[in-house]
Amino acid sequence: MLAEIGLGALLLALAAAFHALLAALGAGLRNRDDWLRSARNAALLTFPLLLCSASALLLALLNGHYQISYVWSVTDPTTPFFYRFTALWGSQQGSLLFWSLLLSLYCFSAILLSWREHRRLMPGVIAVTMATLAFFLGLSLLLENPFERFWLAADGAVLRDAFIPAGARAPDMERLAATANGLNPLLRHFGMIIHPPMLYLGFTGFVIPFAFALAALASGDLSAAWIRATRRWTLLAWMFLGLGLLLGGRWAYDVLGWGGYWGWDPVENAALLPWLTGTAFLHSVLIQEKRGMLRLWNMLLVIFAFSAVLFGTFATRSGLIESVHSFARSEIGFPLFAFWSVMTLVALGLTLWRQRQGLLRDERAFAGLLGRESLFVLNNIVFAALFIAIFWGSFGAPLASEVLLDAPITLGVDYYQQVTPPLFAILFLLMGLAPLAAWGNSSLRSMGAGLRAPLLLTLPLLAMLALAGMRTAEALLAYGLVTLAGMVALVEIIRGARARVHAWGEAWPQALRALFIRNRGRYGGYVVHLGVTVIGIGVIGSTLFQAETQRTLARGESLTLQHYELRYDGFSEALAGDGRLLRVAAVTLSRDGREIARLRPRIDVFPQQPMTIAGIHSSAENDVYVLLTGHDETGARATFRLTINPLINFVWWGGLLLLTGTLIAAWPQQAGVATRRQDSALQEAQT
Amino acid sequence: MKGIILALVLTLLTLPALAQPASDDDVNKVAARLYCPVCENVPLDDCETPACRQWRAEIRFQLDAGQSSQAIVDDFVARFGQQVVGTPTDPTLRALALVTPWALALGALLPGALLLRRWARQRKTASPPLDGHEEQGPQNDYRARVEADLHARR
Repeated sequence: MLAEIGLGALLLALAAAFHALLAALGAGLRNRDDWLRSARNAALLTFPLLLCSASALLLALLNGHYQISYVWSVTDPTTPFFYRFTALWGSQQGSLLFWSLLLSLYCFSAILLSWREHRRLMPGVIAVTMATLAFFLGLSLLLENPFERFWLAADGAVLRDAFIPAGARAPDMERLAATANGLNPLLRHFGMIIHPPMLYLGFTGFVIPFAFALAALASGDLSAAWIRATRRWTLLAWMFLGLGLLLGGRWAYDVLGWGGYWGWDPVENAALLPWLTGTAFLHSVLIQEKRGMLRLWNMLLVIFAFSAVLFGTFATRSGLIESVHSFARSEIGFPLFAFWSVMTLVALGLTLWRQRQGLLRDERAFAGLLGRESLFVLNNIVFAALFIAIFWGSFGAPLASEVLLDAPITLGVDYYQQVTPPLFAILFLLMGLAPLAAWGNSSLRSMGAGLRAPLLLTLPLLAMLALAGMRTAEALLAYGLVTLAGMVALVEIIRGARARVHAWGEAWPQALRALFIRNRGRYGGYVVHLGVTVIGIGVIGSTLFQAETQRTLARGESLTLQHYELRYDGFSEALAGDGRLLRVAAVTLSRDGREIARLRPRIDVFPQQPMTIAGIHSSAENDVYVLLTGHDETGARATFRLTINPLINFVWWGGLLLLTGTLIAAWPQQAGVATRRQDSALQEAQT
Repeated sequence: MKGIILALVLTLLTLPALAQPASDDDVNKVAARLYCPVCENVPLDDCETPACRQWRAEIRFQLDAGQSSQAIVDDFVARFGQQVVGTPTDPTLRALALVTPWALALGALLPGALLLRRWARQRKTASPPLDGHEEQGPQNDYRARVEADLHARR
């Protein structure tokens, strides 16, 4: 019954999406408001229908309806409740349905919230979002149906079909349960309950700015309306994508057993590309809002962000590239490629058309090379270069060398470590300089004055690092740039609060609170900068100063690395409730002769594959990461890899700061003309 | 003289046997430069597939035999192709891999440079007010919409 309900709701959602698409196109062409309302209603209906469909699949997963082939392939009777829930996005069919559900949620929210204010853009917005939704629903129904069931034909053959074939009957349920596959072991991790939803919320969220941009292009209403309507959506999608990337990094760190969090894997990179484009857009859109400039560039950035989302989806699910993420590979590659190409070409064609009509011309002229606009343009160029370098390394070079030179190549970590650090260094430099530049133009003198306090805070820190033994120029330069960028953000926040304290006599906590409430975008942005700084500190520390050693030890033997000593104490085996065999080593970790932790690195042996789960001792200074990489039959001798990851926890803490800053920036601004005037006056006084 | 040469040859031949066997760290240092033949994009030192274990054993054997790291990497590339290394060793492929992104990035720089140049020219011909706030808001949007509608009717 659950399969019928889910399938019926999916079919109705596709019909509603098609109706909304056609009615919205008609409303746009014929200027018919009644058609537009009908399109809106149908578009709104897709979300509850897909919620019903996804709920049916979730209930089937939770209750072990193994006749549904998806349920059979991602769960078995031993799968814990927690992983039955995450199994909804554990493989291709379920994750596509989940993707469509989130897409419809965004459409539902955007249409409801923008219906009155942006009615003019609605035909285009509904048409684009519903075309995208209809495409993904079509994939679900025609190629990757999550409600297909097993049937036994009269001749005993096992069939898979959404509906009962003639003469077939349902197979024996107990037999199905006994042979069920179970969830991919790599996905049995707490992070899996958050990482994919965050990533999908990020991916699907970019459809809203894309839809508004295309609606603006189609209607010719290229005022700042579409920018105002979409900035918050972009910020939300960007935040979710960033969180998804960070959580993915944490999952890799905990589960993949190689001691790192970012492997420059092509699928990781495919998710990073729209995030980079989104970051560039969130900066350059300020120029359009404040100065009426970069209108064409912003349009292109929004198009490329969504295009990168579609390309990433295609790359992940088509088998174009191999990776640990390619579990969801199937035959949907060609339709995804075709959809990506059509959407990108249509969007670029519309942009070119409006550009030729002069509708994307800038309203203002450039005022100076040291103005904030110029620095933001430089920032965007560096983001574009980073995008190109990462795209080339992940997809361009491997495909070009294979197709043109018949020589398959892999561009690994060493490629990215050669190409990306200079670009990141320039980005951090600009992150430090741009907040100090005024709109229009600045003088070197005024920027130098603004830099004085952050420099005075940065230089002693660098001196301390040098005295502590950090002598490599690249590390000092990297820490210098990253810290300076963070100090600029910090000093700007303090300056803003101090201005309030002096002008209005407010206490410091009150001044800080008022500062963030009254100008969420600006100060939320500074908190994001602080978050990125903290992440940068963690990335530099864990990349440049990582130390590692590996040795085979007999029980009672030890290995040492820097100040740490690892002693192998014992070995045991146990069978977990979900059927996996646990091979656990007991080790004692000491620092300078003092015992600091007893860890249990282990190997989880699943029927499909073994997984190495690290024992980790975490502190602010570093993570000591212990892997059991091998052992003899009795466990008398075992091989351990000991890795010290300095400052790695700064990466996760920076992520929390980034989340906080984004939430502050995205929170709706409170109205209050009088206070705004006061604040504007204060800001004038500051700059 | 012959005796000296003979002693030298014997010493060279027996040196690998006298040398310390390669440690796991030595093996991993070389393996980190190579990629798994089965799971693409996974460095050899991090991969636990049987194929990778076998390759690491082969690296250990070659190190014990006195081969240098570079010689071992070159040997793997000669036998399995350029995809076993993180950056190609073949000069043409290496240039394709490393020079192209910079060329493309310069290509990205060009529109930026052109934009700044255009702005600089516009600056000479027009001098609009520098404070952007007064032109923001509904009035400006309304004007833009009217302009757009007029343009569409033309």
